[in-house]
Parts: sequence; structure tokens; C-alpha cells
Amino acid sequence: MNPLERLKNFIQLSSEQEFEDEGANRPLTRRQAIGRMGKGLTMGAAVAQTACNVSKDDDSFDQSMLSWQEYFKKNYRVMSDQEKQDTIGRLERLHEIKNRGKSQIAVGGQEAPKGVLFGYAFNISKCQGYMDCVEACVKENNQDRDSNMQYIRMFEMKNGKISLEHADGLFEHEVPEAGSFFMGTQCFQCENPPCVDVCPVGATWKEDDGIVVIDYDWCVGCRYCQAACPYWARRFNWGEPSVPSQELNRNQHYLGNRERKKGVMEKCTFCIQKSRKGENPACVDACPTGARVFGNLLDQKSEIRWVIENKKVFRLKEELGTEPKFWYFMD
Amino acid sequence: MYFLFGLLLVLWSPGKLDASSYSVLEKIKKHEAQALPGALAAPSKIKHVTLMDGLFVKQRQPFLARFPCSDCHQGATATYLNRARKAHWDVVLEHPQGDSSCWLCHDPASGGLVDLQKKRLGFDESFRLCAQCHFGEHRDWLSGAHGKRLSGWGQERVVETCTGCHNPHRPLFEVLRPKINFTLPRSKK
Repeated sequence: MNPLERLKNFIQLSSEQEFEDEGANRPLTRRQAIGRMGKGLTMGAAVAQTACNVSKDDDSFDQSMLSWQEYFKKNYRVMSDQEKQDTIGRLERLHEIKNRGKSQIAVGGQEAPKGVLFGYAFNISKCQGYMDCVEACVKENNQDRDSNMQYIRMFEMKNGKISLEHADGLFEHEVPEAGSFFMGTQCFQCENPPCVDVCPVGATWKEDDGIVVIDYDWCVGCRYCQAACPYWARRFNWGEPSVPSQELNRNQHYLGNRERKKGVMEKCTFCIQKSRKGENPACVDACPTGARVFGNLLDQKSEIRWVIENKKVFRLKEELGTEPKFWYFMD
Repeated sequence: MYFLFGLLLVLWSPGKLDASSYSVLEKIKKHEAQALPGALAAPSKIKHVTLMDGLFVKQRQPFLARFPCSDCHQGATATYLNRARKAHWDVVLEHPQGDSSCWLCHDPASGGLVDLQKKRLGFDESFRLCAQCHFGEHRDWLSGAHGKRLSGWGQERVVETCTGCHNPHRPLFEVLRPKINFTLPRSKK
């Protein structure tokens, strides 16, 4: 297909879509208006470009069009199902174009399952500080390798006192060590999350299954949430995140481990791409000691409920009223 | 006057905690009835044996490298019990401490396991041996607070048996270097 025909097809397609959605007589919102004006401009530019440079390939044309549509999409939370599918399709196609067809990703958009409230329990008597969880987390969630970003932090504490102030978060010796125990922290998916309250643009929210998520395309990078979180659970991308192509996890979720960009927040989502399919998060799967328990808090027969009801449990900084859904327990 | 008005405003203003928050436990109690009834996950691909309703143990016996004994021993050699320690020199027996003998758990006649009442057990039931002393761990393991779960978080549980994680001859975990380097806070750089 020659570029000019492609452009015609594209104009036809995109205008049909929009008018089907909204009806021709409805007034435009500001965002739509800007988006359409911009689209006109891009198309004009594209026409000029195709006229001047016939050899320009289809992919780069697609890329500029798709990036433009991506730029003017809505917040994921207010998107219709069709719009969600569209943006996921665009992301997958953009990734393919960027890697010249050599790499494909599958971005999922699974909704929160009904009748599920995710909870987590961590056995501080069992954890030996091997850090398999951290390694698995970094790989599963495509975290930036350059800045060595990690969602999970592991603290070593001396026996007899649970105090993060006297904990060593940077131990460098063989584990387990006699006389000390380990306590891992990550995002606790608070039921009353302060990070969500402070977000000025509504880019982060709590889903129905209790997971606090971020729309990376809506985040403006103000880092209020990072300051508001009492558990230091959120991370910021100071640079363009880089993941080697051979290590990239291609099973992704829009609200989870899809590729991030420079200047946005990210955090643990209990591996939303796995947990919403019924699997355990990567840290639970990786733990060699079985110190991590994950499950549905609403299910009376679940392991997590047994732990909460029968073990000595506590939550970190419970007095703040954030209601974390992450319990520590001991044997 | 304005001061009083301001004070009242502060007192009346619903604090965030009072107005919109609730405890997780309250929420759980409220929505418990609507819990997802079935398992979300597809049946586990791991080979397992049924232990009880909804609980499965990963199968080990067919995958053991040195079972049955006849893989290595022909005829009568397996009955020279006084030489067993020499033949299995690589097994370091540290458990149970004190009086430890191979024949406390192993049955030379069947090649399988045997409990304290001399009841013969297969290798897939090794947890029954451990449970003779470690009954607390056994209870926790059945309920999910001890041990490693191999399936997803749905209702069907496939779990690792005791010997899946612990070496029965020396059950303490090994001393190793942690897998990964920590992120340094900026102040330490």
C-alpha cells in the first residue's frame, strides 16, 4: 500500500470511530478538541512528508499517528472498555514498531475479579534474607536496571526488638546469621492509602480488589505520593528506564509491569498481571523458605485468613490508620 | 467571634479518618459473603497426590534419583546394612541430633520409609514422619502458615512436602550470599 492510500484509510478509520462513539452533534471537550486539532496538524505534516519523501516506510507513519493518539487518551479509570482495548492495542503496536518487529508484548487489561480482596502475610520467623524475592520482583516487573530499582526492601534486625530505626537495610554478609532476623517491606496496598489522597491529577487509585495502581500515562511526576507514603513504597524514574530486551517480561498489564517512561512513579502492585489470573506474585513464587503467604481475604478458607486468625500478627505503623493489607506474623 | 467560628469549623470538619475510612477487618466482614466461590486459577500442572479435600502434595517418589534401591543394588547387596553408611557416604546425617540412625526412618526391606510404629510409608508421605515430632509445624503446614505453596492463590492448594524445602538429613537452611545487591540510598553514594 502506498503511503497516501494509507493516510486516507487512517483518516477514514479514525473519524468513523470518533463519531460512532460520541454522535456528531455532541459538544467537544477541551481535550478532544485539542486532540482533533493536533491530529489535523499531524496529518497535514504527514501529507507534506509523504509528498516530499516517498520512501518513508509505513511503520514510522504508524508510529507518529499512534503516539499522537496515545498522547490524547483519557485516564485509564474513566475509559470505556473499547477505549481500554484501543490503547492496549496501540501500546503493543508501538512496542513492535520500536523494536522493528523483533519483539512483541502482550499487554493485559484484566479487571479486578469480583469477590476478591488481596492480602499478604510475611513470616518474620521464616525469612532468611536470601533476597530471591527481590531478584524475582525486578525481573517480573521490568524495573529499571540502570538505577537498580527495587520495590522490596529487606531489613536485618537483631533478635529481641522489632524496630526499623535499628535495622540494617544494607547488610552484606552471608545469611542466615545467628541472632538476627529479617523483615521485608514493599507496598502494603493500604485500604486507606495516603498516596492516593495527595495525587493532584488522579493518576493513582485503589482498585476493587484492593490493589493501589498507577496510570503511568497520567502521572505528572510530582512525587507527592512518594512523600506521603509512610512506608517508602513508591519509586520514581529519574531517567529513561532501561531493561535489556532478552530480560524483558513480555506478559504485561496496563496498570502493572508495562514499560514505564522517564519522570513517572511506579510501585509494587502484587504483580497485578499474575494475581488477577489466579497466580501468586513473583515474590511468593520465588521465596525458598515459604515465608510469604498471599491470598483472598474474603475467602474464609484461604491460607491468609488462617494466618490472621491463628497467628500472632501485626502490621507496620498501624497507628497511622493507613490500614495496610500486609500482615507480619511469627511462629 | 471569628476565632470561635474558626474553632467550630475545625471541630466540625470531618477528619479524613472519621469520615471515609474503615478498618480492613470491617470491610472483610462486610463483604465476606460475596467471596469468589471457586478457584480462579487453572488446575496446577505440577504432578501431585491428594492429601485431603482441596489440598494436594507435590509428588516426589517417581522423580527420586536413587529410588528404588534396585536401581543400584542387585540381589543381596542391599541387605549388607552395616556397610550402608559407607555406600551412602555423601549423606551427612545431622538430624535428629544425638541418636541418629538411618533405620529410624528408612526401611531396608521395602526401600521406603517407616514411622516409629514401624508402619511403612512411601516417599510421598514423608511429612507423616516429620509430623511425629514436629506436630506444630505439621498443623501450620496443613493450614498454610508453614511451607511453600506451588499453585496460585485460588482454592485448590498444591504444596511442597517437607522434604521439598528441607534436606531431611540436615534440615536447617544453608548459609548463602544474598542473591542481589541492594539499592543504595542517595546519601550513601
